[in-house]
Amino acid sequence: MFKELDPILHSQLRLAVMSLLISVKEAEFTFIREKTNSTAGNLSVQVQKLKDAGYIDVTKQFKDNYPLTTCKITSVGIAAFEAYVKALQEYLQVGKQI
Amino acid sequence: MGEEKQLTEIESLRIISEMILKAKNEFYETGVSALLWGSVVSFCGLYSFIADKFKWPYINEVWYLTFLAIIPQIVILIIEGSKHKAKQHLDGVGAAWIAFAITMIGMTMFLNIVPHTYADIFKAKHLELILHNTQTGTSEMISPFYFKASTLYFLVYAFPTLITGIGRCFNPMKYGALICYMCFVVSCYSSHSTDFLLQSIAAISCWLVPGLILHNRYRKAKKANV
Repeated sequence: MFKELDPILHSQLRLAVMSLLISVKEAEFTFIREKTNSTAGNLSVQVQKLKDAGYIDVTKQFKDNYPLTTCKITSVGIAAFEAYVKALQEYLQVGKQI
Repeated sequence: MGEEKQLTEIESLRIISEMILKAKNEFYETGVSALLWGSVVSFCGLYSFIADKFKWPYINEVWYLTFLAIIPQIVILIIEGSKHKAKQHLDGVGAAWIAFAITMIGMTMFLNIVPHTYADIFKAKHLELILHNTQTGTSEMISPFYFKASTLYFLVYAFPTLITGIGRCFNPMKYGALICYMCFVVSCYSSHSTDFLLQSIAAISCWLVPGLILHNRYRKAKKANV
């Protein structure tokens, strides 16, 4: 029986954001936007969805009078990401056998 | 990346590996810190060697340059840190350099504090250290330097404990290393006999308590898998 892929992570931009955040301690919003080649509006929506799921922490502050948004993956997010990758591997393993 | 679309498993894996690679490429070693310390320490060593041969002044004082080099090192760290929009995880390599820096500071403390501690201990016991020349028969009093190796052991104990604690994100070992460094500081000011008690405290905090926690986790995991 296949595990269902986490719908929160099984999306192009959200998966990209989580893959970036799992590789770093924390990242600024602009860093994520540059690396994912996304628009600020779309990224904001997806970041909010990840935050609502408890997968990431979002901190908003000011640096040199400019707003600075920082994102950091949570332990719940790490566990979800690991489960997602494991489920993907199972799918691919079965795909190879067929 | 634009609007959401249905992903295949292959596409998902491609996104994950692509993003991990992009994040990894963000961080690079400029080598400036290595250049700074390599230049300063090699200069001090060479100067001391030549000064010793040709009886030049400041043979020991030249090593104060290593303390001055801490200032540009801090500036380098601030500049390099502000360039990045993401912060890297502190891994085992970073932890090893932190442990190295603490050990260097500890060695400096040891060499400057322990002789004074033993001068006081010898004075209280009415003892003097005398350097005796067996050929000429002359003797001279020397400033007491008792090589208290047990103090240095605390730095050695803490080194792998701190690296493991940071590298594996295991807080009990981080705290264990911290307690061990505190034992080192106390040991610098105390006699040899006190070190036995401190070594016991260090071993409990560095290995016994973290070991018990790890073993408890192992038993729970084993039970869950049965």
